[in-house]
Formats: sequence, C-alpha cells, structure tokens
Amino acid sequence: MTGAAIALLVAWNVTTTLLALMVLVRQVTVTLLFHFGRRGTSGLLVSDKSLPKVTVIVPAHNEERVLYGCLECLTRMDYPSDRYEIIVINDRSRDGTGAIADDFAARHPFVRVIHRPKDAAPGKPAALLDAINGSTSEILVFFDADYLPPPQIIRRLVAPFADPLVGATMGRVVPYNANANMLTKLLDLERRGGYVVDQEVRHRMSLLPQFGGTTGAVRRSALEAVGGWNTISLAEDTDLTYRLFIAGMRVAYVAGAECYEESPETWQVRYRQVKRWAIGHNDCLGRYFFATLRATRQPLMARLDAALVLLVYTVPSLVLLNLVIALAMPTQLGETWASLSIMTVSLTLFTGIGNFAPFYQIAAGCVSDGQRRAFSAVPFLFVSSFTSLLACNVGVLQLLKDKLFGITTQWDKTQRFRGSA
Amino acid sequence: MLNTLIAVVVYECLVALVFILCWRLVRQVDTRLPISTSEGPEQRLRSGPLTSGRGPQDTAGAHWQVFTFLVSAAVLVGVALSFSGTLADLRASLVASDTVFRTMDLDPQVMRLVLPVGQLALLLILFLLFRNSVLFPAIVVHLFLIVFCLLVSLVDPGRIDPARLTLVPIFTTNLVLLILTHGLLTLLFCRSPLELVGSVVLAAIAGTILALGTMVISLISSLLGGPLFFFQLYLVSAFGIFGLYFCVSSILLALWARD
Repeated sequence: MTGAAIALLVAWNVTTTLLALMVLVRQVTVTLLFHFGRRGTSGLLVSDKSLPKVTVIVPAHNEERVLYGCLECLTRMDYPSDRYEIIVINDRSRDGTGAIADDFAARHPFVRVIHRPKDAAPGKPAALLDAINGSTSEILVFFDADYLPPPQIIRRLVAPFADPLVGATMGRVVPYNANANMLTKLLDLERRGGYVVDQEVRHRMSLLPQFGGTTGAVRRSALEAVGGWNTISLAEDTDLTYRLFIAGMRVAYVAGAECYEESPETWQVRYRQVKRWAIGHNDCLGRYFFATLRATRQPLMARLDAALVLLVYTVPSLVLLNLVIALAMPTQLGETWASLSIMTVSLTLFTGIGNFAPFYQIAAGCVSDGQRRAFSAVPFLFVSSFTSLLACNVGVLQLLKDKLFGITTQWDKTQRFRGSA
Repeated sequence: MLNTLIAVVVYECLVALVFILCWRLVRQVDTRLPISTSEGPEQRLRSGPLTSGRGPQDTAGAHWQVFTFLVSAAVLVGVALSFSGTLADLRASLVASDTVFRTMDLDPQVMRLVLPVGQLALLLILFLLFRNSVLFPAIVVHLFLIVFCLLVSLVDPGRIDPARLTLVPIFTTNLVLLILTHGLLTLLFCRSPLELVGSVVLAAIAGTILALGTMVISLISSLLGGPLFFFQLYLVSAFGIFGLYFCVSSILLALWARD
C-alpha cells in the first residue's frame, strides 16, 4: 500500500471518528440539558372560539387489521364538529380497508373517503398529496392507520400554531405493544429517548424538533410556501422539516400530545422500516446538509444541531466502515502505535455508538415517565442496534445504487400485527 | 496455553449465562406506558399549561448525588485496582500451571485458532437456528466480523502470534467510561438514601467486573494477536464488561425498583 493511500485511510478514519464522536457527545449533552434544564410547558389548549378548521388525513393501504380502531378514536375526538373533517385515503387496498372507511363515512358526516385507483402513483407521500389537494383546511393533521389518538390530541397539536412562525407541530408516539417481545420493548425504549428527551430539548432550546409525518400537524400556507408536499422522497416528513427550517420557520414539539402506535414485532419488518428511513433520511442529507448550515434566518446552534441530526442514519455506516479499515490496517501497516490507536478508537466507537450511546437518553426518558423499571431492557439494546446497523448500511448502498442508475426507490409499507378489529 | 483458553471460554460462557438470565427476567417486566392525556372529564376541560414529563421529579439533593458519585467512583477504582492485583497473581498461577498440559503435544497455532474458529462455528449454528429471532441481525454482523478477521489473518498468518501489548490504555478507557456510565445513572436513578447506598454497592460490582474483564483481555492477548485479538477485545469490552454491568443494574432495577 502506498504512503498516499495510507494517509488517505488515516485521514478518513480520523474525520469520521470525530464526526461520530460529535454525535455521541451531542446525545449526552442533550440529556444533561434535559435533566438539569428548566422544566418548560408543553403547550396551551386553545378555547373553542379560536380553534381553526382542521383536516385529519389517514392514509391506508391494506389496513383492515388496524383502520377500524384508528377511525373509532378519530370520530370521538374532542373538537368542534363544524371545524373538523377526516379524510381517509383508501390507497389501492386489496383487502377490506375501503369498506371499513365507507362504513364510517356513512355514519359520520365529517368523514370522507378518497378511493385511489389501481393505476395511481404508489407510495404514502403520493396518497397524502391527493388528500391535501382534496381539503381546504388551513391545518392538516396526519395519523397513520395503526394509531390510536386520544380525544384531546388535536387541540394540543393545533395550539402552537398561534405562533405565526410555527409551520408544523409534532406529538409524542407511544408504542402500545411494548410488551409483545424483546424487540418491541427496545423500540419502546428508543422512542422514550427520542421523544421524551431529544425532541423535548430541541423544542425547549429552540433547535429543530423533527416533524415525523404522523401524530403531527402542518400549516397549509407554510407547506405551500416551501413548495408543497414532496412525493418523491421516502422521508417526506424529514424533507418537510428541513424545508420549513431553511425557510425560517419552526417545528414545535408538543409533549402532551401523546398517541399510541404499533411497533414492528419482527426484526424483518423493523429492518425494512429502518432501511426505508435510512434511504429517505440520507437523501435529505445530500439535499439539505449545506443549505441547513447556510440557513441564516435560524440561530447558529440550531443550524449546527440540525445538520448533526441529518447525519444520524449515516453514522452507522461510517462506524462499520471504520472498524473494517481498522481491523485490516495492522496487516498493511504493521502493529505500530498509530494503527493500534486507530483500532482501539474504532472499536470503542463501534461499541459505544452501536450498543450503548443512547442509554443515557433512554434512562432520562424512563425516569421522566416515572417508569425506571422499563430501563432494565437496556443490556439488550445491541439487538435493535444491529438491526439498525444492517438496515442503515443496506439503505445507504441502495440509495447510492439508485442514484447511480437513476432508479426511483419504491415505498415499502410497514406490516401490521394487531388482530383484526 | 490450554488453561488460558479454558479460562477465556469459561468467562465467555458465564457472560452468556448472565445475559440469558437477564433476558428471561426482563421479558416479564411490564413496560407499557399508559397515555396520560387520553381520558377523564378533567382532561377534557383542562385548558391550562401542561408540565412536560410525567413522573415524579423529586430526587435526592444534588449535594448527596455528587457525594455518592464521588464515593462510587472511588469504590469502583479501588475495587478494580485491588481486584486486578489479586487476579494478576491468579493469572500468573494459571499460566504456570500449564505445565500440567506440557505432556500434550499441541501446536500453538492450532490452539490460537480454537477460540475464533469455535466462535465461527457457534455463530454459524446460531445463524441457521435463529433466522426469525430478533437476535438474527446481531448474529449476521458478528459472523461478518469474525469471517473478515479470519480472512485478514490468513493474508498474514504471522500476525496471529501475540505481540507485547500494554493493557493500561484499554483498562483506563474502560474505567473512565464505566465511571461516567455509573455516575450518570446514579444522577438519574437514585432518589433515596437506600438507593444511593445501592449505587455504591453497584460501583463495587462494576469494579469487580472491570478487573475480571481486563484479566480476560490480558489472557487473550497472550493467546492471540492482530485482528483476531481486537475482535476478542471488542467482545469482552462490549459484552463482558459494559454488557455485564448493565445486566447487573438491570436485574437490580427489575427486582427492586418501585416507581
């Protein structure tokens, strides 16, 4: 191996190591801010008179197992019925989804159903666009068909729109099937760390909370101002979050707006879900990383943090690649102090990032929820982190391949596990 | 050499056993979170500000937590260092007692390959048996890593021979990370004087685990070199030190924590 090649490898290793370390340090800092910072308020409830008209959009592709429960909750919502409508999008379903939606529409005047034809553009973003175009409300609220929203949630989600700079709001997602198996327990832990601590601190510190595409609301005028709904992206929620941010708007996280969801119960389903997120998120990284850093309408700290968050689905690939290079290095370089140091750091990062990086956030989330015993599943975080590691790496490779050959990546629907309603 | 190998295998089996026990215990813990804002007439009428976070925020006084952090760190370091000394004697006698096996004519290169090839065989069996298990991705990644390490070692077999490595940086890195981990958890979890005492006891256990893990790393370093050694180092650090620490704290939480 030539000296230049070795120098290049070492430079790559050092750069990516520093990047991964920054992500790691960020996670600990965020948790310390959460633990020691001022307890804020998570939103006011607006009086009936000031409530805006809202359209709740529920995309449903073969969702007969879960749709009934979701619509039951939505039709019992605590919101003035003259300012409330539900649009169910029966997206080319081959099961009883359309019939369930039609049944609700027949019983409730504020429920509408859009049946998408078989030749309609596939994918959730395209289905959502049809619903957005078919509604007139200023506030659009999104729920996936497996969600079970409580009666107060829409009031809570619309409250932050009193601030004209707020373009979107996001609630907290709580898995209802956390006890199903070890994977769902771990996903529950990840959710606690991500929502209770990370999203909360981002909101409190005026950074950029993520709009997650479900259990969230968007202001129509803000959506139009940033170019409308992106139907090509596999992470249309991340895409919108960053477009709003770059345009100088805010995303508000509403901790009190909690909603049940169904977590994947098998590693195969979780793998496909993370792979899809990794493709979409890394696509956004390519498009918005530098634009985020240059978004001068936002504070510097918010820009830096938002840029770091964009790297979340890239770090697993960097860490694995680092480890492979480091393991091979002594064969090329001999066991010098440099190669051994690189190996030790790479190994520590692989262990730290992969297995135990989020432990402190998760711990803070469990304590804040008053459920310290839930933290006891943390030794098995490696189970879900290796699923994510594999999925992220395959996702990055597929994105590169699709970009290279100009292929449009297909949407992959998440399988449901709930018994039929 | 055979003694060293047996000691490493016994340690790794013990770690696996603790993980299995912890898995069985944790599986029974109810971790579902009730929705706090869903039902009830008072919720429907509520219009004031909501306080973020659900649980009780009362914690032991900050000065007590800092005090416990310092005592825990001192106990962890003290136990790790003193136990390391005791284990060093044990390690020396373990290596010396290899004379028992001198009559057995075993090729050192073959002995060096027993551990990684044994792990490869085990991972292959798990790969076939656990296709639908949540453990499958972890098995795949470790299979990839061990195959990669074996291939790299094949390119230059001389690298399998152990090189003289100082274990001080490895011990120090793990010690610092363990103190930080334990300290952060103490700050978050300990609210009462009894829990603060529990934190100090856990620190002593953590020190013991660190000393034991470092001795095993030291044994492995006398057995293996190159990428195969670093793979073992990763396994012991990730699962045999931090994994064990989290298993013990997890068992304590699952059995005694009341929220």
